[in-house]
Amino acid sequence: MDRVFRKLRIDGIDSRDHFFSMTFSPNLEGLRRSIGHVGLLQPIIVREKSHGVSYQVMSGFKRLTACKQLGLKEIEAFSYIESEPNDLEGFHMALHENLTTRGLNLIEKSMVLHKLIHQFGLPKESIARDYMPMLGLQPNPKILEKVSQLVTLRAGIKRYIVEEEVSFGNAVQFLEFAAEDQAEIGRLISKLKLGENTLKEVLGLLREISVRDGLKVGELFKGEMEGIASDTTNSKVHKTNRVRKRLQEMRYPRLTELEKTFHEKRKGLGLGPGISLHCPPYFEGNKLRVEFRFGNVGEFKAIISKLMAVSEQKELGEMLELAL
Amino acid sequence: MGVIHPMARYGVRRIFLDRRVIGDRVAEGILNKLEGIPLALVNGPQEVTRRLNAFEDPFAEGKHSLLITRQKGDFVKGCPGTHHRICCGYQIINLVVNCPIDCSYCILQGYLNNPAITMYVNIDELCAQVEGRLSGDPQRIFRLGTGELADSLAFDGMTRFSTVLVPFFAGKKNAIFELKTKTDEVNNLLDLDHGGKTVVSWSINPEKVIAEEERNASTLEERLSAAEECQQQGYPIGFHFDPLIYYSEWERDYREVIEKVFERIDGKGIIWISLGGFRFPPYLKPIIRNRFPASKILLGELLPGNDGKFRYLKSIRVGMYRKIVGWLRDYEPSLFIYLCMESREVWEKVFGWSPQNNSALDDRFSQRIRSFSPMYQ
Repeated sequence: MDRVFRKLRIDGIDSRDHFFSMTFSPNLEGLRRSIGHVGLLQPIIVREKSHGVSYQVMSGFKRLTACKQLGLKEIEAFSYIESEPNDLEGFHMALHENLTTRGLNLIEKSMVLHKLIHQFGLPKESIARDYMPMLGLQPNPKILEKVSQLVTLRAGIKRYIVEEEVSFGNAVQFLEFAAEDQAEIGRLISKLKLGENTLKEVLGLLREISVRDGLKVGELFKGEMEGIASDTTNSKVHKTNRVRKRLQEMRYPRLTELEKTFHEKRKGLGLGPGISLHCPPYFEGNKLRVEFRFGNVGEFKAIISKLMAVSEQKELGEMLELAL
Repeated sequence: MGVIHPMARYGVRRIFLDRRVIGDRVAEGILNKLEGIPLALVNGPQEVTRRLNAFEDPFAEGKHSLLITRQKGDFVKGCPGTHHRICCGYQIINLVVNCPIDCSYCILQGYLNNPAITMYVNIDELCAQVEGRLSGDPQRIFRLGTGELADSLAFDGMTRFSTVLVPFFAGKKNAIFELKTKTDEVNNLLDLDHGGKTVVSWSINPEKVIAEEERNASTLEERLSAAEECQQQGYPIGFHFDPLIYYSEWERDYREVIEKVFERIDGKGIIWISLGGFRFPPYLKPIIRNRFPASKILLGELLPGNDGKFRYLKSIRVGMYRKIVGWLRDYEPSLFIYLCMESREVWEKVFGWSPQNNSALDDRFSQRIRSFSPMYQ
């Protein structure tokens, strides 16, 4: 396979031909700056198409886009003839070039696997064995199935996965939602600050509530939830906590009701500052817990007499009945 | 009665025969019923585990794979129960381990090292071990059963283990044996001399739950027909409402189950009924989601308890138990009903009393057995 070094007119390259592309949501700012300062250091790789009338990019989509955006008319390229390399060989070359010059993000790995399955028709066993370790993935057919499907997610979700560096475990959770729901989720989570654990919890709650109630995610968001997420006066962290709490309330309505009643009765006891009364976690246990703080004997006596008074209040009995 | 041969019903695809049991009489008896099914000789369970782990879903594949081998250790073990809960002191006999029925909620999915359905052929050694245990504590009435890590009867047509164990226990003064099942495989039982010392019990649920969550199990009607036949043959009958599943129509559906039970079964012949809400250790959740993506069983208000297991919110469980106990007692006030893996406070709320500890519950079982059957007095 001989390649020729050429200076090609950028408008002679078919930039819409993504046959070899494995690039998703690139941030081109740095690359543009670099090319602007010192020019293109690494030629792109192209293959002739339509009998030499045009070219398709094998590797260098980002460089080509950056050059175009800088208004350049020509680009340096290594050019192959139309039949050599063949499609799969060309894809291999592109893959190796990408892997050695930069890492692939999760969505790009998904694009590679999806193309190997659907564009090149390779058997899944050989993809798992020969390609997944190269991509830093476990050679497991189930993981192959899941990762290759990530490419089908809505663009907003894919961008979120890349920008927030969402883990594989959480990324595949998005697959359990219909495209319409993914769009709604994308709108919500872009307004929040979600760590890996919170994202996992929020997605789990959303899925469980929507399946249980037979509702679309958009329907869950209407009203209160939308209001919380769109509130510009609160920080993302604050909004995240409120959304999370609201979802928990929707997921566990009986528990929420119990907690509310317990809280109201506790308020009715008038414990005052320095004393707190707790139910067992999730009301699963056989004891209530009292905590108090004091700094001198006088405070201690006041707390004890308050607790003695509380023991006579009917609310305490009701709380015991409720909690235990 | 079972009309579908177990091999057809459960789709046995392969047999692994441990080289150590080649020529064993019991093993030969089982193999004779498995003609035409591919057989591989293996050097023990580890080899089977290795082979099945090569499948995408080893547990699902294991349900179609039989391992015929010898039990090297103890056949009988105390039920592990769970922390901070009242447990009944049941003794588990592991003669068959794993089950061809594929319930979404099954704890075995994350519990067993070897995915194959394992049948131990050294049943004589089991009997000797049981003898030793019973004679070591002659005052105690032991309750033993084969239905914890397996369905007691799913493969009985093939193994005929019941034809050894039922007569064996018929001669024991201080033991009662329980065959617990979700099948109607009772053919072997009908002509046996059981002496009133084998309880045949069914785990039951509404048809909706059976259809959605208990793949390959017999229908409620089939189970109750089998129970009726066993009762006609004089067997004490047991029922286990376990796991109870909470969903919007649960009251209507469980009432209907109870109605059907008492249409067919004389309540006076029911030795015990257990109730247990759906519960699961955390590791089971991803397994259920992965293996049964359409199941809605995980969508209830299931919350972690102080034993680490997830259960329905206590008020939900107590509400279910109280109502079911009431409906059952409307039919037969003298029923012996107990809770499985529940706390003292739940017992108190449901029955107004609670066993002080595990051994107190064991004592109550002994009293129940003595009052139920003159053979133990």
